[in-house]
Amino acid sequence: MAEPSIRNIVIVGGGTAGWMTAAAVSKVLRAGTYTVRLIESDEIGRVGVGEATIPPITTFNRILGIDENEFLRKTQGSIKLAIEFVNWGRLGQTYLHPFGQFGLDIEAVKFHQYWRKLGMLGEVPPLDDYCLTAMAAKLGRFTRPSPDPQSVLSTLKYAYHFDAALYARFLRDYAEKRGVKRREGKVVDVSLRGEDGFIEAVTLASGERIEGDFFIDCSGFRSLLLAQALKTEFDDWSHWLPCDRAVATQCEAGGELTPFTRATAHKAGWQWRIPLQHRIGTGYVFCSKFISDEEAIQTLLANLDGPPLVDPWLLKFTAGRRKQLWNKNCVAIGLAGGFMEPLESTSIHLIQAGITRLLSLFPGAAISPLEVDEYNRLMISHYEHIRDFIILHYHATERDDSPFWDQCRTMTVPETLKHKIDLFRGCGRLFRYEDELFAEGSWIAVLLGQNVLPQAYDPLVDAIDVKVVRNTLTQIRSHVRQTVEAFPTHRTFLQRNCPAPKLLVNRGAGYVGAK
Amino acid sequence: MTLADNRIRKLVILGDGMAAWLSANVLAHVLAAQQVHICVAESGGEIDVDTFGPCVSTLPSIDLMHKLLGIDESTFMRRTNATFKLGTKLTGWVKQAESYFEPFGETGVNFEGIPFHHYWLALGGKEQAALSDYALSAVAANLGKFSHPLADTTSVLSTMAYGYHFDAALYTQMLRERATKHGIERLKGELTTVTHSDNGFVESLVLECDLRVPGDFFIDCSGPQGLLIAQALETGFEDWSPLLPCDRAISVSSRSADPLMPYTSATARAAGWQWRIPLQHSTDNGYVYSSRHVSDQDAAATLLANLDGSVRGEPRHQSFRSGRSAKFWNKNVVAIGGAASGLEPLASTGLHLVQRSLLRLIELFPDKSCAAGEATEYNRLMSSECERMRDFLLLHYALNGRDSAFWKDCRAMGLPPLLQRKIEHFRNRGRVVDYDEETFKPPSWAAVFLGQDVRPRCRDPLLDTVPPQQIATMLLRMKTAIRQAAEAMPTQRTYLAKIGAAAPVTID
Ligand SMILES: Cc1cc2nc3c(=O)[nH]c(=O)nc-3n(C[C@H](O)[C@H](O)[C@H](O)COP(=O)(O)OP(=O)(O)OC[C@H]3O[C@@H](n4cnc5c(N)ncnc54)[C@H](O)[C@@H]3O)c2cc1C
Repeated sequence: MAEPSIRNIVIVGGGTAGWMTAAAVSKVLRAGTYTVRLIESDEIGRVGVGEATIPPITTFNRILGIDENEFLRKTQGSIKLAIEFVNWGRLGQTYLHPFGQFGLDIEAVKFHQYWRKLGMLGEVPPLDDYCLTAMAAKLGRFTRPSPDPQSVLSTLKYAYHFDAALYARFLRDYAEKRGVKRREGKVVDVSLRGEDGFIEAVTLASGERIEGDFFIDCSGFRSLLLAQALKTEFDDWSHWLPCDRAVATQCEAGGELTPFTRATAHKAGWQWRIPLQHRIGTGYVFCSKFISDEEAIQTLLANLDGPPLVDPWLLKFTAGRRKQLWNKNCVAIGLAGGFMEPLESTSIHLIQAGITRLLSLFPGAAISPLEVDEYNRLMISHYEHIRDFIILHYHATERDDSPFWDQCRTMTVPETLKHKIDLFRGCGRLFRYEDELFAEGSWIAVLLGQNVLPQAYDPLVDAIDVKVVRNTLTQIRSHVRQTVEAFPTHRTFLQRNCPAPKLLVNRGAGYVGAK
Repeated sequence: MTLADNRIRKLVILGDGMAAWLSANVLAHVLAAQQVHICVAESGGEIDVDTFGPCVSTLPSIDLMHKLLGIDESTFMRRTNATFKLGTKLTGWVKQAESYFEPFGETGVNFEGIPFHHYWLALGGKEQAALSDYALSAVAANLGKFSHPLADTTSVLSTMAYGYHFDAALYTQMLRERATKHGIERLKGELTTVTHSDNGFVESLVLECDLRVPGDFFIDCSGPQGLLIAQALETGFEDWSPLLPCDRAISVSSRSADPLMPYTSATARAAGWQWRIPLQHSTDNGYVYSSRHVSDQDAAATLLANLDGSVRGEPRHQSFRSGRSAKFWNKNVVAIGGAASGLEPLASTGLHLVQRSLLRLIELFPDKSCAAGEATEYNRLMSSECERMRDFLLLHYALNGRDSAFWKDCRAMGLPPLLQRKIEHFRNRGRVVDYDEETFKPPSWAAVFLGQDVRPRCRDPLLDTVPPQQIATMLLRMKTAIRQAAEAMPTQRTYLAKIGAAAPVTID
């Protein structure tokens, strides 16, 4: 077998995407066989947001062999069990989207079908009461799940909140220890090979030329290689996801340390709130067609938990993705490939998905269109499934208090999403596509949370006596509650296992990455 | 809310074969407390799933259905002359007399997340062992041995999986008795007319002697003729015969030959392939062929010349058509079994598809109006499932290495694009692309690719990071452990007796 000629990997960008990629590549493609270099520019900086994740991140860390306590300590991390959505279905309405499942399926029929039947009989116990993860989020408690599938504790699912700058720093140490070479400098030129248009080298402001066989574009919204050098077109989704700006800031943590992210809908978008050990990260994602930057900043500052630590900074974006995520000898990972707003904290996950798929399709001797096409097929379907899930939040609303919500409520949604909503509205049926990220529980939480109520329940539910259903539900509910009540509080858990050092936060000084 | 009024109260199953009776049992079980009246109209004559012969070879998934219904394994095996099946041995598909094995269960270990077959490939010529030497199912099967897999995942004995071979008529009989015991109504008589309501839904079946059978929902298990789906509702058929050219089968039973092997054999012949399915007291044999390439007489001669025991009874001829109903669920009719699709038995998928259909139907069980989008979703899922299965069958033909006209034609066939892409990926770097709704998971595909002598052009670069010596040691250890475990098992015959599953010898 011929010696693979791809030996020299260059990563452009040192944000979350760049360092996650560098860390994974350094673990899997061992040093000695491959040279991995990462270029980042102190002058340009990172987006400085992106601090909430979803459960697969725990797998990523496990594969890298990262100790969870150390990781949480070094990133000022906290636990995330759910997202709390405020004012989405209607003004004044709140629901949770917890990780992990609701109740237990009884006789092969989904739990929510029984719940729906009781609902139709006028008995409406909140769905969250049947989900261990949701209950723990509500009560602000946490403990690590049990590996024993028999135990209800095994149904607990969690992810993290962390300080993005500290996470990048943490992974940088990891990657450098495994041989990744970091180069500080600003890329000012990209040279393409004459015969096939492959990237040959990048040139830094210092004049240094860095050659490579394979390039990973992690340059953020600039998309320096994939978009600018290789002219890969963009698939614009702003007709479905109209938000195009965000103002972000950080404020002092006050009150309780919630183990969930909060997403509060405002007049022309929504505000995230991500609690860390040392501070809260927050920002308002909005649509510039409906309000000014100034008004957005005012709204943001009026809705903080504590005094701001930095001046708000503005980010501009367009929802969508590049038509190819892998083009020639370049794969874009992170914002350089595409962007969907952080409503369900999927960006970091898309980074992870990009890395995993790239490694499983990693080219050997020469880059074959087979691998390129397969990578693009997988990533594009991943993007689209997530896109549909996010659109659902905007579309399934009764809000009519602003032109922004009127537009979202009445827009035409993708066929794939329409099919799902119709199927659920009919009889509470849910079908996932096989490689879909969000499990049934997630769709159920959002559909029901935003008032898409099935007109009927699964006819098979009637196979079980309603008294039995009622009893079973009562039992699950009290079992869930009792189990959670025995957990330590979220803060106690962190203090016992992974207390982060107190950071001196100077008001106004900002962090690395905050601009 | 008028929900209750719209519930399905009467469900009619049309047919008298395995699909009909399995449907009756499963639906009766699931709808037990619902006061749904289930009736089987034993009409349609033709036996449906067992179109290919008196004997069925299954995938491991059948166990799930038996567990659901509370069917006791030893009782079932005793009653149906059944044996265990650990996989399929394919002979002569690439070169005359050369075999490979498609085992159930696991092959090797995906060390560091890299699929096992890459390690096997990495050893290249230095290692003589076949891929299936790393699968306990295959090794035990070739030794004629069997014992139940263990649940403990740290034991090598947990890596096995198994299906069955059994007598179709005896099995159907068992299901029929069971259904009758559970209060299912049986009506006999040929179907004469189907009446429709204004919206085109089927309203009732009229059987001979003017017996009218009204229903809210109908399951068409009438076999390939599709009395309801194809004839009454004119749903249309997607013909796959340009892809799968075999259209005839001839089968015959022969006297059992010892040792009793726990696997199905599929041996390539001049214009198709021959199955051999061992039961406890007889062996079922059949030749699936293309009538354009061989005459019925020649096919019969080939079959009779290739038996390992003396013939019992007369050979039986059948024709069949590969393809599927354009919709599986149309209005208030769901087609299950031969009425839904025709796929030759090479991958033993018949009963599996019946089971999948039932599970999907249960998940999407409708009310009388069938208006909640269930049919669309059902059809979407079942068509992909069926097509991925077809592609798996096709793969065996597309990659053959034989010389006769039939086999040359098979090689020259245009393939569906998804399959084409899968093959290219494997040829290139040994990667198995996995689509939605695949019945056969990547290790099964890899077994066929490698069994049919496809060797990837280059290796997976991730393997470069694992030292070759480490791979060699690891594989040797694995192979030895598997061999020892298999040798320690009892023979299938002994084991059947031990668990009380030995069927009484019948005089013939
Ligand atoms: C408002 C908002 C909120 C978000 N919230 C979440 C969330 O809650 N959860 C989540 O998962 N994701 C979230 N995201 C997305 C998440 O922030 C990003 O996916 C993640 O930070 C990855 O960014 P990146 O590494 O691709 O880009 P960046 O962080 O922008 O990094 C780009 C890197 O490229 C380098 N670079 C750029 N140009 C050059 C050049 N010319 N020469 C050299 N180097 C260069 C920069 O120095 C930098 O190191 C959010 C995004 C936004 C906009």
